[in-house]
Amino acid sequence: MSAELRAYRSLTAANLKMYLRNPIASSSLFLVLIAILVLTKFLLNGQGPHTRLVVVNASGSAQAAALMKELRAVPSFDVSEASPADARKMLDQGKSDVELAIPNDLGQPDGTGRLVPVRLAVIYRAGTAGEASLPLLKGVVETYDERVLGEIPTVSVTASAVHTRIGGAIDFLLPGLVAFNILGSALMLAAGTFANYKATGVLRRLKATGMRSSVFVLAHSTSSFLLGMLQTAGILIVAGLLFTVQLDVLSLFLLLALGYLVFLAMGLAISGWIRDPQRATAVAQTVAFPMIFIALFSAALPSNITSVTRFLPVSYITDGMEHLGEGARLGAIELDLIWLAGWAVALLVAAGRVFRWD
Amino acid sequence: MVVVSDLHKSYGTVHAVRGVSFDVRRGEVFGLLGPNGAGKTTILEMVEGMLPIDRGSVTVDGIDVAVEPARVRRRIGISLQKTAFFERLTLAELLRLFADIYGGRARVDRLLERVGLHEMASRQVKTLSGGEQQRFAVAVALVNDPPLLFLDEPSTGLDPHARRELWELIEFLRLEGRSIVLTTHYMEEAQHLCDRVAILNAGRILALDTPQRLIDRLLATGFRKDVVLQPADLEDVFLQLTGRQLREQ
Repeated sequence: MSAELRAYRSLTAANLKMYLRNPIASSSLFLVLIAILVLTKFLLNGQGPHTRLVVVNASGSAQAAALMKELRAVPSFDVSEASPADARKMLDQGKSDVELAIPNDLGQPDGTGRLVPVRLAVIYRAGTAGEASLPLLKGVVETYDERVLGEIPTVSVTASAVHTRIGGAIDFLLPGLVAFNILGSALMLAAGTFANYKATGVLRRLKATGMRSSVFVLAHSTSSFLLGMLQTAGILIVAGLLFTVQLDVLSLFLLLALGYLVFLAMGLAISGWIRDPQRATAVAQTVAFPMIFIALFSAALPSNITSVTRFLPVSYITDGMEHLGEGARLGAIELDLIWLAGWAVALLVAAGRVFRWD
Repeated sequence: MVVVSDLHKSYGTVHAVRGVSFDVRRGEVFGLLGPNGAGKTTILEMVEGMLPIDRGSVTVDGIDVAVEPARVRRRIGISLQKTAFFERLTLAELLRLFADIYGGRARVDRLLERVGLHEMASRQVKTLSGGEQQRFAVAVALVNDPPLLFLDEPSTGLDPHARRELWELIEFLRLEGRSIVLTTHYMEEAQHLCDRVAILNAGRILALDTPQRLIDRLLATGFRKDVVLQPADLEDVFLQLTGRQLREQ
């Protein structure tokens, strides 16, 4: 093994060891974000995964009322009734996960006195609790068909997906939380640690060994990247356990890895460019906080502001995350990835040029 | 081992080093003496390849420092004036890390034993006393087994006991055949340790010779000071009370 590879490996391991031995500095933000997820779950849902079901009931029959009763009896369904227009609006705005339309001929007899066969149209939001609850909804309808309407199958279900731009609370929150974690870990922690090494003279001591600066920067970046991606994975796992989040893992990894690289390079560039470590940390925070705000509240920003902020790297992360949250695949976030890669290259070049040992 | 010719360094309008020349021979302890701000550390760091040279030349073991500073740094041992290490690693982990950086084998136990810290391998630097930290800095400087060591004010801030321990360590390293360049503003330290010293002021060398020859030269000018024969001083009291074992060793 070459000396430089040995130095890189050893420095990376040492950095990781130091992060693990200083959990308050390296993981407090991560733990706060996990707490926010748990709190969100507690505040929004209370007792476990729920599906918000909106019913458009066009039938006034006793059979339709019986179906409504069956649906309301399912503990994990939050059932409400609305007009067709309102129901679609609720679905589009992420205020419901699934829409069930009961046609007006449910319970109507045909000429022979038998009930007319009807088809219940179900529209669900892709990648939400609505999609996950489809088998349960179908099961409820089949049981109702058999128990209430008799042995001859009368009711069937046709389901279709709809991709809505605005998701539920978690779809809104998760991209922001992940971007927040990346910003905190890559930009603030990495830049802060780097600035601290410079201030205390650790970097000068390493310079005295004659090692190449690229080996140190690469080791520092690798350990920071591993820690950040582990924490991001932790947030996604917890989100997946608490909420219905269906994401394309490969696309997600690419998006977050590139995003992490961008902010890591930004942190290194700032701490390399500004000699005074305290000022470097302050500048990193000044850069990070507006982007954290953008990450968390991008959907609420006025269009004249988003026309500018959409070119910031954080916007590509949140935009990509939102697309993935809606069930999109790699192709849908290609543009986000290209922009992030461009930012990463530009900032890494800048970081390399302004690097100083002391 | 080291040849320094007409070295200059400026910081803006401040001319910190003004045409300094000297050489360091194999196996000798060479001292750079001077008051604060005399340019000791600036000269040392230019010779180590830590600071760019404005004018003049430095070769270390035949290598031009201005051309290959990193190559020079890999071959020498350096203990900086302000020594800092990763805070949350133990002494053993730090020595292994530096051995990996140099691409060599970690001789953790041997190095710690040599500087008298063998029982502290699992402790972190911040838990060591000032003297122990300085000795550890020397241990790190020895990781790549260098023939030439640079120690920048190694005993500054140490109590007499710790300073004596460090002197013993430096004498031991000289006995191993290493060349040592050290800076100090303690004349007693220079007289005790150095084979030759260069006395600096305002970036210039005022005198360069063995301590004894420098003293003889001064005496030859007719210089005399009032001598108060005192069989012991306060430092002896201090060492007697706190460092008896050290002296007996």
